[in-house]
Amino acid sequence: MIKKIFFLNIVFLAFFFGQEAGAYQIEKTQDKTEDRFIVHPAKVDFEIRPGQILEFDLIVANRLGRGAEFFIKEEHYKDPNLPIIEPEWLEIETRNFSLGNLEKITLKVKVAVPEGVELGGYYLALVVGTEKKMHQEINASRIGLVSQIKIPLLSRVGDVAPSENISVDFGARKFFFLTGPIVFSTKVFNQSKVHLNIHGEVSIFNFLGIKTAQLPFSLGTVLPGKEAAVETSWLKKFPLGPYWAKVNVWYGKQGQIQKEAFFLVFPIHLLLILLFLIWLAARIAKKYQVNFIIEKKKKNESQGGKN
Amino acid sequence: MLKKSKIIIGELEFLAVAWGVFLVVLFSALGEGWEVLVAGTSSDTINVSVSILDVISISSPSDVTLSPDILGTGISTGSAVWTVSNNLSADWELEVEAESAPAMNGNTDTIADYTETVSGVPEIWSVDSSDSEFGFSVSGDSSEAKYSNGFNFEGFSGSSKIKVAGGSGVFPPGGEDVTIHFKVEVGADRIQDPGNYLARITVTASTL
Repeated sequence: MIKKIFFLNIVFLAFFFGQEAGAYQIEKTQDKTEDRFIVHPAKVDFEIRPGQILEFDLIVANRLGRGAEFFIKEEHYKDPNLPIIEPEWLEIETRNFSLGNLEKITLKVKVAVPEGVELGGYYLALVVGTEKKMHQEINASRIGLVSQIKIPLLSRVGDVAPSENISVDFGARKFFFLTGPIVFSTKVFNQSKVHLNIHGEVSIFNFLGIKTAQLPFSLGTVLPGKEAAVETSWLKKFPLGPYWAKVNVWYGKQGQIQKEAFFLVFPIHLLLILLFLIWLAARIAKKYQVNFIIEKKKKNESQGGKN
Repeated sequence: MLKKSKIIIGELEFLAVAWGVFLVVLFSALGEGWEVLVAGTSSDTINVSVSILDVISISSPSDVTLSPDILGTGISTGSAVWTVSNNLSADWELEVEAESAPAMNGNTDTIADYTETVSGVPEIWSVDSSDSEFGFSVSGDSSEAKYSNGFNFEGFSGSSKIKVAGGSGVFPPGGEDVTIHFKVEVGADRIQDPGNYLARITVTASTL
């Protein structure tokens, strides 16, 4: 009997203390109530090799002015067809917790990528939210509100170079413009296996080769298999003549693609108006010139007659 | 002899003066050193640092009770404001989704999601007299243009997320306010079961 009790105690203690002790911390802060809750990080974009583990701190701070129940869950990031960071790769210390007003929690999050995983991008969103219990006794139509923050987890597993799997379409909206603004369209299609941070600039040169404008733009993070587009406008007053526009698109660590487009700007409408005015002025001038000559002749004749 | 004495006295005087000057200089120097020892200054440089972490935040408004109560038929409205902010200067977006389809349910009856003439294109509110529908619109500087700042409505689409606002990461002080306007209409010819109708709407902010 004593042996059984002793054995049961050992089992109980092993179960109780055998679990990994939660290491997360809830701390009181000196922040102010701001009617919001805050999450760090806002985004996790990382490179990792198969077999490696990424660890980061997830911090949730309650500044709502009241205590709240929080939850953490995962969901697909943007497109369910994207390769996903598998649930078994992810470890979070806890997924449900309570925070009093002005308290914050720091949780360890681990992403352990197994060996042998195909190289490329893997994606997931961590969703941190707070909810209130629905009150059924209210005598009115009611809408229960849940506020959430979604943190993108964007990973590049292995050293995957995007290589030539990026295509860029670039051009001015038209070949011929009467006047500005001149609008350029840049489309980037990411056909690689990883997400890319893409930005660029459009440079405009006149027919003398002098750079007359520089228009930077950013396409942000473009997921694999997705396209991003941006329009940039050149707001020059009275552009005139032939121009070349060159776009530089930078992606990844050192990738760069250049494209060019040619366009003409000529205010034909203004030229026609100008020609018309010149013609009109010439007609008027001719008419007054004729009258002047006639009057002069008359004057000369009258003077000759007197003499 | 007298001359010799005078010379000796002169030399002694000179020596005395020189010795006096030496002592003055010596004690001055010692005094300076003593001052240094007593009112000594030494300097030490330390670095003070702080980390500003990248964050995203969202407010959590209270549940919305539509008003007025619907006397059999009629319209009831309500709204809530979410304030979104991040310090990454990153593009962001706000999405809404409903817990169920249709979104608004009672114990014995439901209120259909608002049906647009062109699916997914918000429009000026219009409900047939034989229908009852629940929809929403959005207003705010960063709300999607399709809502015309709160004039055009659309219906929820179950758990499919609908983007209602977004921006390029430049936030005004305190964050960007986005208001979601909810509306229910029970058509004049509609017989809607009386009771409380509830909808559960989730609003999600994220950086891109």
